[in-house]
Amino acid sequence: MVVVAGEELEITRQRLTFWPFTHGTLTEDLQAVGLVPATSSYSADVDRYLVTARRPMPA
Amino acid sequence: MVEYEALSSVYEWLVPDALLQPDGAVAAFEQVVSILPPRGRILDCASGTGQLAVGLAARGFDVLASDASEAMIQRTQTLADQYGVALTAVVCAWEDLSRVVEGPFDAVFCVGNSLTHADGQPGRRAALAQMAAVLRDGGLLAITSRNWERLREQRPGLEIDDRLTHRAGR
Repeated sequence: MVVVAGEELEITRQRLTFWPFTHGTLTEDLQAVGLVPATSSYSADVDRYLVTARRPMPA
Repeated sequence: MVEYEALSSVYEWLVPDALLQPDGAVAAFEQVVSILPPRGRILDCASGTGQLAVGLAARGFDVLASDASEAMIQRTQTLADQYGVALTAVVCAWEDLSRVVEGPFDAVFCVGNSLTHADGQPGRRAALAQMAAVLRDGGLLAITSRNWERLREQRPGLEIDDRLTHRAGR
């Protein structure tokens, strides 16, 4: 990242590892750990989305 | 699990304008926040520089902020002090949540596209299992993510913005 501070350039470097996943995979992952997907703002044409899931009530 | 130590001092440049202030960060999740019990217990397990955690605490929730990065947790605590709100801030990786933080929580937030830093599907499921473990029965987990499939289709290369981003006069 390059930040311009007056006449100076401030450079910050950090290696970041990403493991991208699809919305479908996330849904499967939530279910795999026992959560119940509740809401999702996902659609094919959004840049970002919000997913909620609930821990189930005891039977 | 990625630790944002070096980036903690310049993290604002990665945060969208609307989420830079605590009230704006909370407003972005109003649909979730509005259904939580008043003064409920909330864990923000990827607190970063703390805008959401501080905003939730300012709304009266009992907030525990955690992050794998000590530098980020220091920034969260500093922001809480600046706003005069009380919260608990602890350094904790997702895989240690149930051992380090005391649940249960009415809600857990893992936002800011953070989950993508878990180590593949095994790491992601391990992290999600820990978040689930500290929720109360019926509690809510909120996750945000980039739409990676859309990003891959439309912008497979390096993206260069068409404007400079200004933060704190820089």
